[in-house]
Amino acid sequence: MKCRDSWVKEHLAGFASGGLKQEAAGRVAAHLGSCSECSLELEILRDLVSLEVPDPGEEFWAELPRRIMAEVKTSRARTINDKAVRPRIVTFSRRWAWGGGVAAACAAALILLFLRPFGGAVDNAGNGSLLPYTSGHGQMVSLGTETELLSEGPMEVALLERALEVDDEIPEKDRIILEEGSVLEGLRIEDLDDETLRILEKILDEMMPNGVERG
Amino acid sequence: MERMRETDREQDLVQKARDGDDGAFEELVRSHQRRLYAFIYRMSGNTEVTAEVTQSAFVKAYSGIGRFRGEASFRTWLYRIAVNTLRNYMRDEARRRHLSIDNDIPSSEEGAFEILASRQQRELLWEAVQDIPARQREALVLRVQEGYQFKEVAEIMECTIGAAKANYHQAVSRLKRILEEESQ
Repeated sequence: MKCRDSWVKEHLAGFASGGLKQEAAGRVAAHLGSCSECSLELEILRDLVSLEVPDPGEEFWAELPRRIMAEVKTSRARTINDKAVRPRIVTFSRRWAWGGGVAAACAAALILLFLRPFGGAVDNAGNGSLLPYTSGHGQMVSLGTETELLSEGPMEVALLERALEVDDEIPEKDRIILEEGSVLEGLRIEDLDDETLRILEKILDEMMPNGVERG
Repeated sequence: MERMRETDREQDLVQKARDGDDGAFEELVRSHQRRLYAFIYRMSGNTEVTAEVTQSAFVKAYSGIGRFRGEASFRTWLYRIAVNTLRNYMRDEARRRHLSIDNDIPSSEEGAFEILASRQQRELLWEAVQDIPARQREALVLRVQEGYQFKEVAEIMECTIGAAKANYHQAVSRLKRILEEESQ
């Protein structure tokens, strides 16, 4: 028979790992005496708790922090280099989508056709999601395609940090998205208000006023 | 008391790392690396992926630590980054090729027969866990093996508590079904 005691079901994991307080553990134990379904579930959960993870060895643990810090330093050096020369960043953003799906598709196709000869899509971190060109001063800048996530290159980090530092006009909703989203790779351009995108564009123009083509 | 001192120490390290102290961040890495590695391995079942995602999650944490507001614990925040990093990795990887799961379970001190029997059982369990859809697996690992409350599971998975519970219960049901089928 199917057990419908949701309280016990929610606390079985805690019981399996020995993390329940005495009173709660007693209630679960009493239930288990008469419920074969939960007893089986507990057996599986206990097996899961005891599953061992392969240890990669002491050398790995000693090396990992060094590798991480080395990657951080490389990434920092790239940021400094990137700040010296403004990358030409643009994609066909939401404004194209507002014009309608067909218009967006045509615009995207045209942009890609015209810009492919200038080089591939490589971002500051070498991740390949930003396009190395600009649509010109004052035009909308965006940092990924309509559906792609904002990548976490040094340029984007610098831009977002600056935006959060200097601009109070960004709506609270978007501030949260920018703070949480970028680092968690959960930020999508289409989640942001038009006003926020305009602010980001302005800041990017201030950061790199020359619009020099990169690479 | 000891736990409080640890929390204070960690907050101190986080603050120093936010102020640009690389040594403090490195210390945070050292204190969290084993647990984070185990967490990622339980979700990926693959040592190479685990090593890569662990490193990548820490690098992302470094670049984002200025935006860490301390509302959740550093560990919860780090796990959230790890979950997202792994999701993105798996999504990208799935486009390229089908991942094989390695089952290199470490040796134990048990006798030969027990080793064989428990190895088979554990391998079966690992495989069953890997057969569960990703979000259900995340909820299962966070709740059962990491011991998080559903509120924290939801925080890490960036979903509602109800969704975290639903994913967890679906994972347990599915695991039971897979293991029952295997044992028949």
